[in-house]
Amino acid sequence: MLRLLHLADVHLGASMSSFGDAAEARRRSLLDAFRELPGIARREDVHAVLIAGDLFDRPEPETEVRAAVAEAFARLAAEGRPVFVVPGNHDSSTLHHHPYTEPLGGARVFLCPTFERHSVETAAGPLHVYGLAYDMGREDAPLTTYARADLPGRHVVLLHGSADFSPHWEIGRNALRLPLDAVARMDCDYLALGDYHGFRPPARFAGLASPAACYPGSFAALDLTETGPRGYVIVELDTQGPPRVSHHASSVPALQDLGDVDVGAAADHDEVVRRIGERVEPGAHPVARLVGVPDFALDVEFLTHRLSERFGFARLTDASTFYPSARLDRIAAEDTVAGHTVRLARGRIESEPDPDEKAIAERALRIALRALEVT
Amino acid sequence: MTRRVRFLRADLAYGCHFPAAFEIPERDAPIIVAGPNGSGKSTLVEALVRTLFGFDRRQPHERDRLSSRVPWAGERCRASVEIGGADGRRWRITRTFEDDRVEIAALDGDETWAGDGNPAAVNQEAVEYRRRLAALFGLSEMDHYESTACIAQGRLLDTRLREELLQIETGGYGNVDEALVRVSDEHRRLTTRQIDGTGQSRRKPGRVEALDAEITRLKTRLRSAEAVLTWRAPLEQEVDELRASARELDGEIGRLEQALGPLNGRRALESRIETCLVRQAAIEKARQRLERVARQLREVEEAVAIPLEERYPPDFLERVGRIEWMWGRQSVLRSNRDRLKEEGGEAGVPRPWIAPVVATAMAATGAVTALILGSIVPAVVGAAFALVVGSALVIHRAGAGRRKDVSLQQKRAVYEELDRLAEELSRELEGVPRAKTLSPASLDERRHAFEAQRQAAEKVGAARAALEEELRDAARTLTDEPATAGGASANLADAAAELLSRCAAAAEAVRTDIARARIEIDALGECRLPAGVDPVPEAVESALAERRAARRGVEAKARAAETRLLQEGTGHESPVALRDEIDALEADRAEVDREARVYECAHALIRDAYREFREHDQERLLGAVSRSLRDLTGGAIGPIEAPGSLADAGVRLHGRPVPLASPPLSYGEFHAALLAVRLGASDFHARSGIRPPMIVDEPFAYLDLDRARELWRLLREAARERQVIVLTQEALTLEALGVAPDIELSAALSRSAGPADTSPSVPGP
Repeated sequence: MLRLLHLADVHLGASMSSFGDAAEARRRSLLDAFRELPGIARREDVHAVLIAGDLFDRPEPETEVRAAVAEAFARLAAEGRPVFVVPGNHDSSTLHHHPYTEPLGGARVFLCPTFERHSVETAAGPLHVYGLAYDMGREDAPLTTYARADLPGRHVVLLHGSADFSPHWEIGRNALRLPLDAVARMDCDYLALGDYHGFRPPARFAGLASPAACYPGSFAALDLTETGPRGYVIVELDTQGPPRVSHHASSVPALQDLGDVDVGAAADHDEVVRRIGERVEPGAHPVARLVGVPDFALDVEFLTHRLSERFGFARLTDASTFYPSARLDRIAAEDTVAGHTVRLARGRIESEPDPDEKAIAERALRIALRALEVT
Repeated sequence: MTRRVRFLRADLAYGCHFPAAFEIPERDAPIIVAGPNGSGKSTLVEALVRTLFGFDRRQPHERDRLSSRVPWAGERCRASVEIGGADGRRWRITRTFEDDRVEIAALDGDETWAGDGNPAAVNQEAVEYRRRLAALFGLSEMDHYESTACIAQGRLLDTRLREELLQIETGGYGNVDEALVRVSDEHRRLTTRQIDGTGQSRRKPGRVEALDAEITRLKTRLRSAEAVLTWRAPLEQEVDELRASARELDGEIGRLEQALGPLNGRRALESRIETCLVRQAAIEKARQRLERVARQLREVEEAVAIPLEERYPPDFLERVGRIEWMWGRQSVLRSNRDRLKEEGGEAGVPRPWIAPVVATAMAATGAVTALILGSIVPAVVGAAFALVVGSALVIHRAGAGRRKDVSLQQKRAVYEELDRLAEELSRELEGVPRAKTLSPASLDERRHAFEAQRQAAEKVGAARAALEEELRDAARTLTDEPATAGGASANLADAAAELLSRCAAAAEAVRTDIARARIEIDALGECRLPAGVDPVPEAVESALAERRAARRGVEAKARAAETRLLQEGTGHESPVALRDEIDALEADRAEVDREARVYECAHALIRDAYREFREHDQERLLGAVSRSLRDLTGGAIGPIEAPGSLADAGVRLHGRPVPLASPPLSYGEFHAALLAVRLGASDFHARSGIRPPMIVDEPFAYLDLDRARELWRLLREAARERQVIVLTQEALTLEALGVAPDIELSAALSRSAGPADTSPSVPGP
C-alpha cells in the first residue's frame, strides 16, 4: 500500500496580521511546525510527500524560511521520501523571482506550464506524479495537456487550483480554475489539490465520483476565519478500492471556534473568562462570539486581553446587547449625563433598522459609559 | 463621575496673618474654621482663592490688594495649595504673586508644569494654566468661583441669578470633558478623522490611515503586478485569439465531423434509393418483357397449335433417312430370307437315325443272311456294308447338316436383322404421326408436313427461347444471380407467372425500401455546416481536411505564443497574493474603521447627551435654588420662577410673585434667600460635575437659630458631594449646633511675624 503525505497552502512567511500582537509568534510557530515535516513523514511511514502549492506566502521568502524548507526537504530526500511540489498563486514560478529558481533540498518542483511527469520507484511500487506550474495568465487550457502514461504503478496528479467552491474561483485570470467536469476526465488514482483552505475529502466533492480528489486545507490557520483543526492528510493508495484519506492536525495552535458564549448570566468579567476557559481545548486559541444581555459593562478588549494572557491568543466578537439591561434601566432613571446618554442611546439603537448600525450604536453606548466612568 | 475637589493643605506666606501652614481634613462633613474677628479667616479664604486665580494687576484695586498682602516679614508673597483634583489626583499649585509664576506639580507622580499664572494674560502659558486649573478645580475664573461656591464675607449681596451661572456650566461637567477626551484619544489612535467635525486633525496617522496607506501601497504594487500582465496583453491577446480561433476551428471541425455521418448516411440512402429505382425500373422492364414474350409465346403456340399425335419428332428427317435405309435393307433381307427359305426346302438334312437304321438294317440283313446262310460272310459283308452305308449316310448327313446349318445361320441372321430393323424401325417410327401409314410413297408428303411442323416448332422454340431468356433475365434481375430457365415448356408459363408474381413482390419491396430510405433521410434532418460548405460528403470532407490543417497551424502558433508568454513571466509579485493581502487589510481596515465609527458614535452620544442634559440647565438651576429656598425658609419663600431669562427671575413669596433682586423681605430672610441661591447654584454645578470646594464665610450672620440649623443641615448635605469649608466667628451658634471647629484661628496668630511652623491647632474630625 502506497502512503502519501499531502499538504498545501502552508504560506510560510505569511504576515498573520489578523493575529495582531501574536502574529510574529504565530509565524514562528508555523515555521517550526513545518520543520517537523520529516518527523511526521517518518512517523506516518509515508513513501512520498506532495505539496500542492502556496508553500510560501510570497515569491521572495525570507532566507531563514527558505533555508528551513530546503533543510526539511533534504532530510526527507535522505530518508528516501521524495517530495513533489507545485508552485501556487502566491509563489508562482511564472514570477520573475520565485522561490524555486534554485534547487530546494532535492524536491521535485513542477515548473512547466503544461503537465509533466515525475516517476519514482517506492517501496510500495512505482509512483507517477503529474503536475504543472500554471501560468497565472492562463486558465483552464493546461488541464487538457494531461495524459496518463501507460505505465504500471500509481498515478497521482498534483495541482494548485480553484474548484467552483473555492474563494479564488471568481478571480479569473490569476487562479487555475478546476471545473469538475474537466477534473472528472482526468484519469488518475488520486488528485492532490491545494488552494482551498478548508479540508475537503473526496467524499465531499459532490458530483465527482472519480478521480478521488482532496483539498487538505491550510497547514495552519492563517487568519481568524480558519478555525478548527488545520494540517495535512495521509493518503493510502491500495491496488483495490478508492484512496483512504485521513486528516491530521499540525502543531500550530488551532483556532477553536466556541461559537456563541452567553454572557447574560455572568456576573462579571472573571466569570466570563472562567466560562470560556473551561471550554477551550489544550493548546487551542479560543474564538468566540459573546451574546446575551450582561448586567455589567462588558469590556471585550479587557476580556480578550485576559484570555490572550492565558491561551496565547484569543479573539472575541461582541454580539451581546447591553442596552436593555436592568443596570442601564437604573442609570437611565438618573438626571445625569450618563442617564441622558443611556436614554439617548437606547432611542437610537431601537430606532436603527440596520443591524450593523445598531451594533455600532450599542458598542458606542458601552464606550461612552466607560468613558463616563460608569461601571 | 468627576471627583470632588478638595483643599488638602495650604502653605502661605500671605499678608500680615501668615506665614502659616494648614492641613485641611478630608471628610464628608463641613470643615469649620473658627476664629474671632481679625483672626485671618477671610484672609485665609482669600489666600486659597488667590493662590489659584491670582490678581488682575491691571485693576488698581487688585494691585492695591496684592501690595497689601506682602508678608510683613519681608518675604515674597507666595503660597502653595495642595488640592485633590477633579481627576482624583493630588496636585500642588504654587504661586509667586509678584511675578504670577505658577507651578503645578503632581504629588502622586513626576508631572510638573510651570508658567504664567496671570489671570489677565492671554499668552499661551496663561491660557494653558487656566485650562489646567479648570481641569483640576472645575473653574478657571475667580469670578465664577466667587459668584457660586465661594461666598466671601460681604459678597453674598452680590449674589444674582445670572446667565453666567449657566455659562459656567459650559466648562463644567468635568467627567464629560474627560470622557470626550478619552473617546477622542481612542479615536485618534484609530484615525486622524475628525471625531466631531471640529478642530485640526493630527498629523500622526491613526490605524485607519496606516491601513489606508498600506492598502494604497499594496494596490500600487498590485497595479504594477497587473501591469506586467498588461505588458503581456498583446501576447495574451494573440494567444487568446489563437485559442479562440482554435476553438472556432474545433467547433467547425466538430460540426463538420458531426455532419459527415448524416451526409454519408444521406448519400448512402440516396444511393440506395437510386439503386432501388434502377432495380425497380429493371424489374418493371423485366416484367414487361416477360409479359410480352410470354404473350408472344402464347400467340405462337396458339398459332401453330398441332395435335400432339400429329407432331413430328424433331429428328424426323434423320429418322426418315434411317427408315428409308431400313426399308431398303428389309427388302434385301426379305429377299434373302425368301431365297434362303426356298433353299432350305431343297436340301433337307436326313434324319440322324437313318444312318444307324440303314446300317443296322444292312447289318441285320447280313446277319440274317449269314444266319440263314450260315455264313459269316454275309454277316460280315452286311456288317461292312452296313458300316460303309452307315458311314456314308453319316457323312452325307454331316454334309447336309453343314449346309443346312449355314442356311439356317443365314436365315437366322436375316431374321435377326429383320427383327432388329423392325425394332429400329418401330423405334424410329415412335412419335411419328401416323407411323403406320408412313411409306416411301408418303415420305415426301410427310417430309413437307414435317417441314411445316419444324418451322412452326422453330417459331415456338424461338418464342420459348425468348421466354426462357426473359425468364432468366427476370430471375437474374430479381435475384441478381443466374437463374435457371423455366425448364419444360409446360412449365414456362408457370415459371413466367411465378416470375411475374415475384417481380410484383420485388417491385413492392423496392417501393417499400425507397419509402423507408426517404423516411430515414427525413429523419437525418438538416446539417448545420459552416458557411460556404456544401452539404455533400465530398465538400464536407474537403472542408474538414482544410480546417484540420488550419487547426494544426493555429495550435502550433498558439504553442509558440504561449512559450513566449511564459518567457515573459508574470512580474515580481503575485496579484493573487497581493489581493489576498489587500483583502485581509481591507477587512482589518473595515474593522478599525468600524471601531472608529463606534468611537465617533460614542463621542456624539456623549456630546448629544450632555447637550440634552444642558438644555434643562436653567430649569435644573431654578429647581436647585428653589429646593434650597424651600428648605432654608421653611417653604415661605419660593419657588424661583424665570419664564424668560434668569435676569428676570422672580420668587414667590407666600404664593405671590415678587422680583428676586428686591424682594419685600427682612434682611435676614433676604440673607437666607441669597444663601439659598448660592447653595442651589452650587448644587446645580455639582450635578454638572463642577465640584470646587464650597467656602462660606460667616454663613450664620443674620440668621436666627432655626434658619442656622437648617442652613447647617443643607451644608452637611452639600458636604457629602463636595468639600464645604465654613468660616465663622459665631462660637455660640456653633455651640448651639453642637459643632466643634476643625481649624481654630486665634487673634494671637494674627499679624504674627513668626515662622511658618506656627500651625494652628487642627482638631480631629
